This record gives sequence, structure tokens and C-alpha cells, in this order.
Amino acid sequence: MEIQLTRRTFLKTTTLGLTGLTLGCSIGPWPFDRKFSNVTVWLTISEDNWITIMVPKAEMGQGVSTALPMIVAEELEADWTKVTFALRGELGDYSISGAMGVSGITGGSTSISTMFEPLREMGAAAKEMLVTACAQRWQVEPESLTARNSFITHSTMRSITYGALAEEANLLPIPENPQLKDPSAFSIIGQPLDRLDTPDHIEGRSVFGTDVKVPEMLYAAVRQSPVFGGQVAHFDPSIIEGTTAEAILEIPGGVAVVAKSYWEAEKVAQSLEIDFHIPEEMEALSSEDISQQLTQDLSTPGSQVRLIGDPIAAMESAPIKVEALYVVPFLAHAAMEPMTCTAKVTPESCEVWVPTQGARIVQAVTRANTGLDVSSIEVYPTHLGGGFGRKVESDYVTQAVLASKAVGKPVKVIWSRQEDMQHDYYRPAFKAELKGGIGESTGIVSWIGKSAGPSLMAGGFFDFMSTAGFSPLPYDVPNMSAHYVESDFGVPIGWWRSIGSSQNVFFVESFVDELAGAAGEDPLTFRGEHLKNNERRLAVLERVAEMANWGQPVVPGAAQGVALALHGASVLAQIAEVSVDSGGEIRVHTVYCALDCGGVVNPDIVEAQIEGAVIFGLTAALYGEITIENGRVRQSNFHDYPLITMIDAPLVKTTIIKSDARPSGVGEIGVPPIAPAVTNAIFAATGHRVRYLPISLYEFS
Amino acid sequence: MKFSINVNRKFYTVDVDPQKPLLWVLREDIGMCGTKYSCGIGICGSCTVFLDGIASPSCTLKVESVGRMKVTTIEGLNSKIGRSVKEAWIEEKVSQCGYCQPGQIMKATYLLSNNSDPSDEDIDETMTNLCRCGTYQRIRSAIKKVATNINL
Ligand code: FES
Ligand code: FES
Repeated sequence: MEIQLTRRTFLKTTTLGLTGLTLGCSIGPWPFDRKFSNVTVWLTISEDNWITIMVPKAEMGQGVSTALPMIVAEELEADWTKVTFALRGELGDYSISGAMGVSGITGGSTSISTMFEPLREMGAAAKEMLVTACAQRWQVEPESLTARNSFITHSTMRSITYGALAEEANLLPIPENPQLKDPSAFSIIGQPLDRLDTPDHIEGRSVFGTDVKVPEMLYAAVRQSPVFGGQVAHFDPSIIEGTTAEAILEIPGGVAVVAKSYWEAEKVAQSLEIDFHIPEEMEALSSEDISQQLTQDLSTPGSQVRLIGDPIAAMESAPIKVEALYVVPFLAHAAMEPMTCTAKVTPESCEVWVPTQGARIVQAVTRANTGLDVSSIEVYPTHLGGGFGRKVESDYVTQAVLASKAVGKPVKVIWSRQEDMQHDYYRPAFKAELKGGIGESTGIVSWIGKSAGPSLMAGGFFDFMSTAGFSPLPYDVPNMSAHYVESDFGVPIGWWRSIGSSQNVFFVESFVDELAGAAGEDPLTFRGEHLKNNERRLAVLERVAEMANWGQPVVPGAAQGVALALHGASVLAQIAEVSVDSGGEIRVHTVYCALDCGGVVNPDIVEAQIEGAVIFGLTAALYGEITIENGRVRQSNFHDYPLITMIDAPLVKTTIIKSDARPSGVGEIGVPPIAPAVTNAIFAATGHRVRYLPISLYEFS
Repeated sequence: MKFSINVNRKFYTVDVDPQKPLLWVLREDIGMCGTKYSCGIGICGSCTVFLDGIASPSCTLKVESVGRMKVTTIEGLNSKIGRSVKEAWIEEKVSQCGYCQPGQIMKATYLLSNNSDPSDEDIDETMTNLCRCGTYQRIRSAIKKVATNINL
């Protein structure tokens, strides 16, 4: 995770703003006030000393619009009470190189880890420019000046605001090697500061994708082929005659109905009989076929992902052998905000207002659908009402662009919940077969794993996304192999918070538990014995054991289960305390989490990410399942794709282990371990091993 | 058809299909976008408003049925309890993406207006709104914080 932001890029992209900008506009009606972005790039300082820091990452709840400004503000010696932010697409001046920056995507839990050093440098450079400007104005030595709280003070106690100096500072060259603070002097980084976006969220003022308003805007509802891969057949635009719709147009795999109101558009769309041409093999596809195919795929060799030692020989001579098959279904993202995008296409230009995790992708598809040059395309990111990987895709952007182009007016596309549920890019269904050999008091001597499922990186090359968490193992095992078989069912699949780890950690951590059981050992001790060469992982495991008082559940009759996950350089261990009552009802009481994610910018946001990820992962573990029948998704809304509510939400307790290492990601790591932590606890409580998800498929009585 | 509806203590006249749900009238015809759409079938609570003080989904209520009921939305939620709830939301750092939060705040204000000291069971029973970001435990602590303040 090396930072690739070169000095040159940094020089080009760091500028201080001109003075006199009104900063309130960054949050309110911002999408329509463009003067702002024309004059400044990464930060602006107004005459009244407010600092606005641009955030070129998608704010989807994970807190980048607070945490990234905190990094800049720290080095800038800004007055945090007068700092605000503005969302920008990761494009042009806001392009970030390195890691996910290459694609311009907000994902992979990389925003902080890729931007930590560049943003520190930017803040430090800006501070140095302000100090230099002050020194020049007052004709004093820069060393006699102190910058703090957005003021510069001379040794004589004379002082001036940053805002009063911004214009002069802006004319100075950007320093080559700005002096960074010693982390021991941090006063903003490391603090659990309030989020900058909350005040607008709680008043209903934040602009999400669904809330964008553009003069003369029309609305579109879409109807996409109910069967994957279907195309519109015999399209007759006159079918909207006699309705309130203003236009209907064909979009890839469906139609868009345009009206003066979304509700009208949706009503008409629902009433239309649209004739789809459906591929036969898809019409026949069901979850049962998919399951059979996965089983068959598992019997093929697949491609080798890893080989250590000689697992086959070691398995043959192992005194205890264990085998298990695990199965997970397709899952939907189900963000509370459905897919939505607003586009305004004219012959010369296109503007797109969109909740996206990839502004660069938005730009590319807009270009492809309009033929316009990128210099004529503006992408305005809005707040995302949840992303979880779904809003990396651009299907909904294409629809808005095509609709606006067709009607010559701005159009906002909104998907109904049913469209959202049935036209997702799903977390792929997978099966995995694991074999393990245990020696006499030597622990795991052989591990042989094979998984089968659709590939997120189809095309034959090494799919590190689909195999993340399956290999390498977090544990020391002398002989191991992992194979992956690529399956394909024509069901669209995509990035779902924690990607491959979302299923693979369930496979691996369930199987480690099974091996511990076969060895007659305590699951936590057994894991620790295979972590002797990894202090950080061991420390996390020991900490979580302490937090949960391992072996002594608080709730009478409850049982505990443990699981470990890695993501980038981050390590997380969870212990779930679970009861299964006589009627088979499962209750997850408390989830303890010990996390080592390197240095932390905002510990409260980190904890919130872990809490949210546990709920996200637990929803999937308990009830998440998208099933296919006749090539169609059966589920359509929250009644048949339920989410956890308050009554079933466990208490999540998180401890962040202190670390001097650089920050690593936290947005996803909380998801993968919760399913195995809970199923391992269910095993401890009932003796039933859950090998298929969701848990609701089982009856425990 | 024309309807005159009372939203946040002000009358608005809208000319719409009588079947149009209040949610979309608020968002499209009155221009208040704080009330959110998510499921459209009365499950998720993102679209929660008060109708004569009672928390209700606005996605399933036809505008013709609003009649003389007083509608309160997140934008107009300024009652003493409403303000305390909003403050507690900041103090307990509840919000993540924020999309469900207007609905959650309406629901929590309704709960606390009728029960100044809700038990965990009361909270479970009333707070059925969905939050995909998983902010439930902080919602619970924010509600308890307001209750403590009310009862001081
Ligand atoms: S949108 Fe009204 S309850 Fe979900
Ligand atoms: S805060 Fe994102 S859905 Fe609740």
C-alpha cells in the first residue's frame, strides 16, 4: 500500500484558495454553485477564516468527509471548529494515484490508508505558505511566527487569521519538503471528533442522490428485464399514449419511462406490458441448478492459488482427518437509498449528479453514451445513502444519461426497491470444500481447500478478490494448498462489502473451529497455537478473549464463538455471545471486537465502522439470501430480504489496539468474522455445525 | 386535483393525482426532501412523518387521505423533545450515511413524546425502522440519553 502521489502531482494539485468565498454553500445548494470549484482545488480559506477541505472520496457513511479533513487540518494547524468539507469526484485535479486511486474508486477500505501521507503533506505545505506570506507581510523571520488554530502569531503576540493571508499565500510556490508534525504532537488526529456531516443529516438537509434538484428536471422510472440477460423485444413507444408519461425510451435491458413526477413515471412503468426477449438458458436457471453446478465445479481441479509444503502426503499420514463442505448464497447490497442518478445532457455538455463510488467510471460511461469529450463532462458526487460496493457500478448512470439525451431535459432516474433488489450485482454464491489433517499434539499438519463460485475478475488471471480470505490463511500451517474453480451462471455479481472475505472467512474460520473440535482443543487456544509466529494476530486474539471473558459468557446458558479476519494490514478478532433457546430462537447478545488497524485518525468513526459492519454481516448470516427461479430473483423488498432491526441488533463492543504503525483500512473488516463467530457459538451451544448460510435455513430444537 | 395540506404549520396547495402518496408530494411538489424513499411499502420507516403527532409512513398514505391532519416532517421537527433528540444524535454520534436518520429521529421523537422513560423493550417495539449502516446501538443510547435529560 505504497503512496504513489509524486511530488509533481502534489505541486500541481495543492493550492490555497482565493479569499472571500462563502463557505456555507458547500453543503446546502452546493451542486448548483460552481464558482467554488473554478478557483480552488484542495482547500479554500475564506476571509472569515473558515476552511473548506475538498473530499474526493465517496461519503457513504464511512466517515471520509470528517476523517480526511482531520488529516489536513492537523498539519495545517486549523481551528477544527471552523473546518468544513465539500465532496468532489476523484477526477482531474482530484485524482489520487496509488492503490484504489488508479481506478478512482472509493472501496477496499483504502481511503485513509492511501491518503494519509499526501493529505498530511498538503496541510503542512499550506501552513508553510501561510507562514511565509505572513513573514513577508510583516517583514519578520518565519521562525518567529507560530501557526495555531487558524491564526498566525508573532513572538510579539501580534496575530492574524489565515483568512487574511490566504490570497497572498496563494501566490507563493508550494514548498518542496513541508515539515510534518511529530505524531506525539497530534491534537486532531486520534481524537473522537464529531462528524462534520451529521448536523445536516439530522435536519434532513444533506443532498443525497435522490434529493438532487435541477431546474426543469423530469423523473424516470425503469423496468428492466426480469430475467438476467433479457432484452426488450418489439419496442413500441406509443404504449405510453393515454398515460401521464412524457416519454419512453429503451435502455440496455429495459425501458425508462419519463414523467413530470417520479411517482407518475413509476405508476406508468408498472402498468406497462413490456415484451422481453429472454435467453432460454437463463429462463431455465434456478438456485437448485446453481447449487448443482457448484458441486460439480468443486469436483474439477480448478486453478492452484497456493501451495505450501506437501499437503497431500501430510494428509495421508495425519492421524485425524476432517472434511467439510460449506455453502453461501447470493446476497444483495440493499442500501437504503436505491439506485439513482440525475443527468443533464445538452449537445455541448453533460452534467451528472450522482451518489457514486467511482466518479471516473461515471465520467467514462457518460462519455461513451454521449460522445462528448471529458472536458465537457462534469460529475458532481452527492452523499450516498449507503454504497457497500454497489455504487461502483454505472448501470444507473447510463440510464440517466440516455434518458436526458432522449428528452433534452435534465432527468433523475430512481429505481424502485424491487428494481434495486432484482437488478443488483450480487455477492456471488459459493461452495467450498475443506480437508484438514491434525497430528498428535502438533496441531494442523495439512490443509487442503477448494472453492467454487463466480469470479470477480473473470478472464483467467489470478483472482485475488474472490480468493481473499481463503488463501493465504491467517494461521501457520506447514502444508497447505488452495484451489479455486471459476463458475459462471450469468447472474451479475459485484463487490459487496469485504468482497471475497465475506464468504471465505466463514469457510476458513468455521473449519478451524471444526479442526479444534476434532483435536479436542479449545477453539481459542487452538487458534493461538497456530499464531505463534504472528505477534499482532496473537495480541488481537488475546485481547478479544479478555474483553469477552472467554469461556464465561455473561448471559446464563449462552455460548461463545470466535473468529479472526485480516484486511490489508488490519487484524480483527470477534467473539459473539449467542443463545439458542428451547424453541430454536437464536439471539446474539454481544459481539466483542479487538482491532489492530495501525494508527487511527478518528477512533469513534473506526468503532462505528466495526459496529455497522457487524450488523451488515450478521444480517447476511442470519437471513441474507437471494434466490433465483426461472432466471429471476425471487426477493423484491425488505419483507422477503429482511434486515436486522433494533430488536435483534447485538451490542458491539470494540477495542482498538494502540499502534504506531501507519493507518490501515477498517470499513470492511468487521463483516467477514461475524458469521463464523456466530455459527461457532451456535455449535458450542447446540452441537450443531452450521455449514450453510443463512442460519435461518436451520431449525435448532 | 387540488389539495391544501398543512405541513410544518404552513398550508401548501398542490395540484396532483389524489392517489399520489404524501411522501412524493412532500418531496416533489412541496420540495422538502428530508423525508426519504426506500421501500415504498411501509416497512423501512425512512419516510416517517407525524400525522397529528403520530409517527406514520408517508409512502403508503395517499394525499387525498391527509385531509386536515397536521403533517410534521424532519425539516419542521422543532419541538422541545425533537430538538433534544437531534442533539442526542450528535452527542452519541449516531449517523453514518444518514439516509435513514430523518425517519429514525421522527420515530424516536414520537416514542419519547409518549413515553419519557422507555425501557429496552419499548425501544425495540417502536424503533422498527431499518438502518443498513447498522447504527442501532447508538440510536438506543441516544434515546436513553434524551430520556435521562427529560427526567432530570
Ligand atoms: S419508504 Fe415508506 S416505509 Fe419504507
Ligand atoms: S445511517 Fe445509513 S442507513 Fe442508517
